Amino acid sequence: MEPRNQRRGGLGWFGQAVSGVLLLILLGLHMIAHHFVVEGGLRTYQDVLNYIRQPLVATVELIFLVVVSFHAMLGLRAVLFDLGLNTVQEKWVTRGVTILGMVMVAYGIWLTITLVSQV
Amino acid sequence: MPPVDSTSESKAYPGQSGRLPRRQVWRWFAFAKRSLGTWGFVLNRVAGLGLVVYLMLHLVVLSLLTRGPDGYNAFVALAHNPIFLLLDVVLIAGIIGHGLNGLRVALIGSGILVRWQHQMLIVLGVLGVVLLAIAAFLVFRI
Amino acid sequence: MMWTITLKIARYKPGEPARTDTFQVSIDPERTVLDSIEKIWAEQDRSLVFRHACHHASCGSCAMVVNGVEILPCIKLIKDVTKPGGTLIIEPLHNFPVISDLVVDMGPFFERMQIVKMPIVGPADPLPNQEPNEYNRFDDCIECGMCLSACPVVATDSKYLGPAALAAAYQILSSGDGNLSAQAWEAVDGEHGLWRCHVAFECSAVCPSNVDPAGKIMALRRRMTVERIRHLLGLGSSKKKREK
Repeated sequence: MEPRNQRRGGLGWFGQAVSGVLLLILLGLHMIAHHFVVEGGLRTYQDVLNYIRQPLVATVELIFLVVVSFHAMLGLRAVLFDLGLNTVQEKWVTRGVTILGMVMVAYGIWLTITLVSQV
Repeated sequence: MPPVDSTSESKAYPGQSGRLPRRQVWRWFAFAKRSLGTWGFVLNRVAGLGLVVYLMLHLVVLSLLTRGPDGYNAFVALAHNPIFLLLDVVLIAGIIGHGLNGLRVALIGSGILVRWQHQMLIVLGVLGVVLLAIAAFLVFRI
Repeated sequence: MMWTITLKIARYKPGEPARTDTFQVSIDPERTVLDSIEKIWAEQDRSLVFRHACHHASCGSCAMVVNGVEILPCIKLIKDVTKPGGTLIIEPLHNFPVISDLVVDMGPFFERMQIVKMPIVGPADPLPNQEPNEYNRFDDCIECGMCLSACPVVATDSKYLGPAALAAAYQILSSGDGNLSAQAWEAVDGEHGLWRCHVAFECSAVCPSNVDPAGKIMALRRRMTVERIRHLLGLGSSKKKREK
């Protein structure tokens, strides 16, 4: 085989496929737990707080946020790469979606901690 | 005999100045004359971009939770508006379409059922419509 | 029985603005689209430029876009693309620089084939210095360029290696002891290689020669994925012959 270090094109596709399959499960759970089994379709403020304070729920929601952010940013990157960007632009797109994804996850963690610690 | 009609277009034809043809982003969405596979591609692209925008909106809306019960419960009441419910059905259609077709793309891309990609799209399309009908029923029953 | 049909043909001459000319032609619906264009050239406008040679789908030189879809007009019958009094919108292939009217510069096609070292013209029998199993040509492909024209990714990413060259790469790898050069590997397995394909299958839908480029891209993808997983698990290459 030829050197692999120059060829990483497949990693993105593989990551997208794996995260996509995970999302089928996680998003399905999220939709059912948050909307379809809840009376009125949306939890009220107090219900959200009670719900997110369960460690298992908070963990699954945060895993969901990480996977959905990863999948969304990788997808956005793929769409932007389809524009036939030059190498410098590609580097900036990769940096941009990485930072955006990290901000989304950090925000989710902050929001969870804020809600859990709210009186 | 000269042409019956001749119309000039303001846009240059691709390659007019000897350069490579310009990017034609609109062709990502040109599915009308194309095969079913392209319909799947367009569906995934449109739904995917829409879902990214929705994800951002969703996270922003959740920040209302930090403003206490008043702010968030007012949003919950607003979300029961029929227009919101209709938008929910559009959202669920996007999720189902992107999810099921994404599964198809992942399978084909792994070399599985490649010859059946066309039929798979039809079967998943029917499944998607059934799931969407159930979801729409549940959304409006609320 | 003759049908009168309208042809709206994209016209372009270097240095002039692009335009669309409308012609009416009376033609037997059993004749081909290429016949109707030749009739216009012969009877109405001798400046109309289009390329054709074999008239039986073996040279691939007449490929164009008719009513939004790539076809070989030499084998497409009038009755199969329109009705009496109907209109045909005729354009050159997409994603190629237009030289004049319906003739495009096929450079982007051949440049891509060159990257994977798939010679377009080769002897049917091996040369003395060639291995007997070495491929000389890309089986079935008539180098018409319709797959590149139909691909939605090529429409925006001119660096994408595209259907024909990726399918050729698959054929090379599937041949007796075929392998790709480092440069070819980089193009095939890089960001603008086989992973850029988004499974629209439009290349396979328009291919007039049953090459099925999308199917071959998927087969190549499967092969690369399996190899990568084996590599990650420390199992080595699945094909011993490729370790040479």
